[in-house]
Amino acid sequence: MTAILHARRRPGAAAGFSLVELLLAFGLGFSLVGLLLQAVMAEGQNGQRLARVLRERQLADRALALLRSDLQRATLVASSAGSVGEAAACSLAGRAVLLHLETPAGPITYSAGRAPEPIWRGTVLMRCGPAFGLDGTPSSGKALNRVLLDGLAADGAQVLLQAPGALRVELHQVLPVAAHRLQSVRHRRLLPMPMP
Amino acid sequence: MRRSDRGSGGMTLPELLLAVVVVGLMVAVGVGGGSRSLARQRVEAAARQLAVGLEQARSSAEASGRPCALALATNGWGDPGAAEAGSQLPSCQLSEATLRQGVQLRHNLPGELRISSTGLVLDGGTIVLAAAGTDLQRCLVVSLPLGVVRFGQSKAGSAAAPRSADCVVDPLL
Repeated sequence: MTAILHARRRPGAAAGFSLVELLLAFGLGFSLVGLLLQAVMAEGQNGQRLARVLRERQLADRALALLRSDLQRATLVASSAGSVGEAAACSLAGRAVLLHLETPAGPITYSAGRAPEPIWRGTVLMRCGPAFGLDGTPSSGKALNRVLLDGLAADGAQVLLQAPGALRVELHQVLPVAAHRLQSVRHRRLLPMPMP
Repeated sequence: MRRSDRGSGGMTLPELLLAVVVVGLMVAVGVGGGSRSLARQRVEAAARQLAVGLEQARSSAEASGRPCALALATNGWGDPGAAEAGSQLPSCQLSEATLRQGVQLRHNLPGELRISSTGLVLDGGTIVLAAAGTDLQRCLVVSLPLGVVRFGQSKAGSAAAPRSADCVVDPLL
């Protein structure tokens, strides 16, 4: 190696690298390290994106499970297109009613629309209804209006009464997974209606 | 570069000085950016740790079918019995609860954050995390009843009381 380096050097020049050679070596080394880091970070971001979509799916599953348990307690069910008047216990601030339930603990209204605070993304799915006790059942008291799911498309929440005795719920989330890149996630459930 | 006729191997003094200056500048830029990045990473890691802790507690309550409670101290999630006198609920099971040092935490959660036997979160609030060396004020909004945690950036001053209205969502988190 030394012999090769010496062979390329000008006659009479001293041994060792010149400043230009050193800077070139530094530049190449840093560029290589930079490229490797970018590749590692891209892989990490890919993993984070996947984890995020999975997390959102879990949240949507939990929201749908809550809707299902509310539905099982309902004595009266009305969709937004239904003829029964929706008497929500909270101010909906212009959000569209998706589902209204009458339960022994009080009325429960699911609505979709504009987010109440800047921490939420896109259209939100909200539940106005009684709070829960330590046993996980609705407790009596003032109704609370809470966000269950965010990041929904403009018309990304739909509830349809389907015969016989089933409720079709469709949620469509649009999640920003990278700069200028969105991922569409859809959730569909057929929920049983309470027995009359 | 002109080399002295009498020079033996290696570089001349001006070359050496220039190389030292160039390397010094690169190190200074790297260290400055690196320390900011490290401080930011400390805050982000603490935020993720708090969110994971809450999710663990929620899962453990759901799995055991028994309600439990958490308390948030300056060093992370802990036993509510220590903070809340007269607490009836057992502490939720957590694997790693202590935050790394160097992260400042303020929040408006109640002294006891209760989780139902079905995994519903009965109390919520806003947590703000900051660290020396970065302007980032990462805020977490804990929403009930599902225990959804959303990450944002606090637009309020560093001494302001945490409020969810000041927390603007970070769409990529």
